[in-house]
Amino acid sequence: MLVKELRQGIRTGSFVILFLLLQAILTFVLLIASSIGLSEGRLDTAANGRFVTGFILIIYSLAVLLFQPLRGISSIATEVRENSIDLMSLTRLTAWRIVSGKWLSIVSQSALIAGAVLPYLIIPYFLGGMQLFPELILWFCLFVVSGALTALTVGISAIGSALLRGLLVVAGGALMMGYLLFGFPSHIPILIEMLSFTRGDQSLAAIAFLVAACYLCYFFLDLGATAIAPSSENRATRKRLIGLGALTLTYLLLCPTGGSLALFIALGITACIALDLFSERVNFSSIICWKFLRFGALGRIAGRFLYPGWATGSLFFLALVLVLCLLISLTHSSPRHYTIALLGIGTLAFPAAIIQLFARNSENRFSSYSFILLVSLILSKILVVLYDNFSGELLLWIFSFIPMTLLPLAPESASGTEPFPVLLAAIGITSVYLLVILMRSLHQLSQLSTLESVAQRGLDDSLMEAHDPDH
Amino acid sequence: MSAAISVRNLFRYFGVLKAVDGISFDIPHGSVCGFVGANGAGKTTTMRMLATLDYPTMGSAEICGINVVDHPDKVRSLIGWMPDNFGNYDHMTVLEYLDFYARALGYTGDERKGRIEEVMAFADLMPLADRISNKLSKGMTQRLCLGRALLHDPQVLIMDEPAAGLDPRARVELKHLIRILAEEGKTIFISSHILSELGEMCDTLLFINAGRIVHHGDADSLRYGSDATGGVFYDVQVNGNPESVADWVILNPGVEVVETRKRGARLRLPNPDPARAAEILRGMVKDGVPVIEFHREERNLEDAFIDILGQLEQGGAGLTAPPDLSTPDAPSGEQHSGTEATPPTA
Repeated sequence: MLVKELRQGIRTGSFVILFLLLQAILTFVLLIASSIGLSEGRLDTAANGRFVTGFILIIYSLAVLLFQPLRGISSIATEVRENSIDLMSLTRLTAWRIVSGKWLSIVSQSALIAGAVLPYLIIPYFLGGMQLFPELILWFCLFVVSGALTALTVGISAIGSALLRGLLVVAGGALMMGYLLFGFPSHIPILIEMLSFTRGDQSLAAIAFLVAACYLCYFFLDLGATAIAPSSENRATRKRLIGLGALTLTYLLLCPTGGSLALFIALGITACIALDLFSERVNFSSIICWKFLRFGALGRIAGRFLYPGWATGSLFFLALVLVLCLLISLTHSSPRHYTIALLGIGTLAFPAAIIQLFARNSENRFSSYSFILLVSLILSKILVVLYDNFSGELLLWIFSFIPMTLLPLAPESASGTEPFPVLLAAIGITSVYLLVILMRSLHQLSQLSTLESVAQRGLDDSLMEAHDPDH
Repeated sequence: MSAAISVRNLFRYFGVLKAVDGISFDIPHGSVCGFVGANGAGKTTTMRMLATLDYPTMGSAEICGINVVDHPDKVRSLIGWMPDNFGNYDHMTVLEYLDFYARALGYTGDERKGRIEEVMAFADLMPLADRISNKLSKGMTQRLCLGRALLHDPQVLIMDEPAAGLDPRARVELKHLIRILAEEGKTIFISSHILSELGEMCDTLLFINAGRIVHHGDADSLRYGSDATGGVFYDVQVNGNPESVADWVILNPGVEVVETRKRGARLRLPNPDPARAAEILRGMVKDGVPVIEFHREERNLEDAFIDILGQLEQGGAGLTAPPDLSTPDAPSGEQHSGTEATPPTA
């Protein structure tokens, strides 16, 4: 798969043009920097060195964080549109290999770009002001982020509607470009300082960053693989367990840096898991139950949380909430953290509750969930900005059905003197949403027993055949 | 021994749309079955479910006794799938295209080269080896698709409208290739709008309308128009008095005159046994009826299809129950021989 994708990818005009353009720009920078280096003494060469480093990193970021990931947005969608995904599915290539092959091909091309940029990062050495180790780490981190963003676009290309993909290209691309051109330059010195690892918790944060990035790569690729895999393939169980593991690990690694960062990263991972849980198709082949049924009653109970489909996903989400609360209680057991966690959970449950109430049989739950969540987040951001400027607390309470709008009030409720109204509201709203989700999943959950009976018969037959082939 | 393709109460709903509405049929090993229906009748959905590319809402489908939902990987090694349309890749030659699929199917080294050469020779792709795969004509693309579908030497070929959009020459070439595959003993399930072509190629025909099977039988039974009780019709022309046929029939029970015509008569035989037809012809000649033409009446398949749909609209009289094809030897042998019993002239 990788060979085919590389064969195609490297021959495409977009990659060749991007690569040559990058080389041309960086050569030009090299010439300018060399001429400045030769006129040493007349200018602040250390400042120039930092400027050149920043410039190279911006150009590099534009290539690997914007242009390369965007190439993934049509990778599987094109194969689906042209029916060639069917032809590939019928070979021994698994859905995972198809999706990861696409991703790896783009990432390999990004690696070529990264490799080509590396020598230019040496230029500041001649100008002074160079911090080799942190700059190389930043270069590597940008490459890792590029991998995660590419996984996002490749994964979305398999599942999302054309509207969602278009939105991702236009809005996501514009936001990323805006940040890289206007926000990133001022963040470079901060990032380089952070990556100097002068404090012990920075190392842990870097490891947490790597864990989160690897998880995001895995998650989005598996999301794409699930969309094209046959219904007899169980991709949900592993995805849920890995998500739970990644959430716990990143939270614990980031705890020493301060609870809020750990909590927000954990909520980010929970958002990914929720996106998948609430958008999985509910029907699956009874053969998936076999592995669970081998463990008897314990397997059946585990199945209620780990079988594919949004119905069991609802129960797993509930378990996820409990795990997150447990983590908070073990580390930063303050009302403020509980409030933030529950506001986040409630915001993630809100689109699922809407879908369960009004579009339970929707064929494209992923797009519906993503769209409602995105609108909720944008709306809550607007309300927070209004609150900051006009102190309209009432407005936040009116829109408290999107729990995240209450976030600016959370620190106030943690002061210890108030009866935590925001915490109580967060508990109330989130509980209502979770209850709605669970109530609307009961019918599907009750049908699991029937499916398990069918699976048990199939399992018994197959065991009988194994013992007596003539049967 | 199980059928090559076995479908039982298969349903596929897309929301409220019943694309496939409880169909059941069997296709025996080594036979060629044509799948006929209007656009949107459910052909492609059924074929995609059989090819493990879609999953049924209810019911079961098996390829060589293996359930397509529970064991898609096993089924995939048994089938070759030819979709109605598909895109080839930019920047990839025909040889690279086949090489990619051969690798994806798990072939390595000399075995891979051997398989590629074999299918290229079969589908006449050798002269196209260095052509870019998405710059081929429709006919060449279909040959490439057939070559790809045959790379792993599947037992069952599922072909969705393979002849659509082909020019007459490419169509003839494709038909020739399908005929060779049928002779090699592969089970072929093929859909097409061109019924006359299916009639030539297929052992049985399966008509689907609005997601339901409305006819399952051999092409000859449709072409030669047996009636609801299984009777068949013969056109007899004589050199001389046309009444001589009716006179002969009066003396020979077991055959009836349906209509007296200008140069003879239209006869109805109660069963399609060709030996009986030959016996009647022999009797006429022996008794001095001046027969110059004796042939079973033929209609084109399009008319037959329209008739079935018409009868269906009038209340289901035209529904032909799917034959019991559970044994591989049973399919359509007794009616199939009817073609051989229709000498154009006496």
